[in-house]
Amino acid sequence: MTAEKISSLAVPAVILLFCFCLVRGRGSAYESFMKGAKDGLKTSLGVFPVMTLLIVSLSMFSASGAAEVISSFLSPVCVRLGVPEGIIPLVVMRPFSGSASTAAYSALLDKFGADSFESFAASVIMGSGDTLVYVISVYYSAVKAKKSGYVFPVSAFVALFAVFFGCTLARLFMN
Amino acid sequence: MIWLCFAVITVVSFVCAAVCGNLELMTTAVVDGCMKSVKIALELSGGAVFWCGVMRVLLDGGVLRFLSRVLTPVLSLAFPRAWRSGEGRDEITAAICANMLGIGNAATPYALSAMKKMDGDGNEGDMGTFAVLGTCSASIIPTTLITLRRAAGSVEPYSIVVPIWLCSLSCALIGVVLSRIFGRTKA
Repeated sequence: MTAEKISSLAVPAVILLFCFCLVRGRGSAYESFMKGAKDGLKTSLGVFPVMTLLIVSLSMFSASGAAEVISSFLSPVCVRLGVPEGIIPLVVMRPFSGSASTAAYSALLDKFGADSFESFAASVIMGSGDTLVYVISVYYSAVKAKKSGYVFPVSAFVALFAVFFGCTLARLFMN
Repeated sequence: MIWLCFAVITVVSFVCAAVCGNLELMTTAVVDGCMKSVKIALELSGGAVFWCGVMRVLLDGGVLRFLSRVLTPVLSLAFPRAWRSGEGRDEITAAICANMLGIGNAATPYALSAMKKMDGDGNEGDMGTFAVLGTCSASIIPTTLITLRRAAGSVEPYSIVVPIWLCSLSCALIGVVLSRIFGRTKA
């Protein structure tokens, strides 16, 4: 309960601190706000074209049923390695789409029950990773430098590690 | 690189859609994707305008400098050059703190300005580490997951918190160590 309270207080606390700085800095702090806000707008407009391209392709990916096809290839290997078959579609979607993997997560909770091993493992995997394709593309769309070659493989490896380690942790914590 | 990513995803989707007979769905997916991108862009811009303004005030007021000094022992190991030159140091701190507090819509604009600062400094090694760390970004309290679990009738919706900490901490460690290794050999 307290944990949930702390996280719901985070935003108001930051705003309060911000308000304090505004009052203390008078006019100059307000100018800082305007400057930062304009930069923020410029940055987000700058990444918009790349984001559209990315979101369209990811949306096609979700609709095409590619996740099911890939999962059916992966499941024999994964099950042998201790990853339950039920969570494989979620594992496949996770790097590509936040909304699709959240939808897969809700469906999984309904199908297996919220306190099942599948749901627990899926929760750990969902909680310790982000939509890596989106994150990396958006981060690098704001800059001139080319993405170093190792960024994708390393993140993919980390995401894969999260899947296996998440299942191991689920097994440990549920007994 | 992004065009390659786009090409691979599109071809894979096309082939799978053809195999599964989902080609019609793909047409709607393209239209939906365009509309969704406007929605996401508007949400992101709203967040970016507000939170970047807030960050600038906290930056000029010295709050972020204080925070990054507190976090120096940990973060200077992951981002040595940013910490040495000071370029992007406070933005990295802001992005990581926002992520941990679960303010995701603030974390993205902060991360973008951190990337820009490091880009101006030619700091490719730390940019790589930061991007990898961004993919395993985790909040201290996974509120969405807990809410969904509770809604699905879990007896202990909070039981996932500790394993998530363990898992994301190990992921972050592995990610940083690997990108430091690869980033160094490249440079």
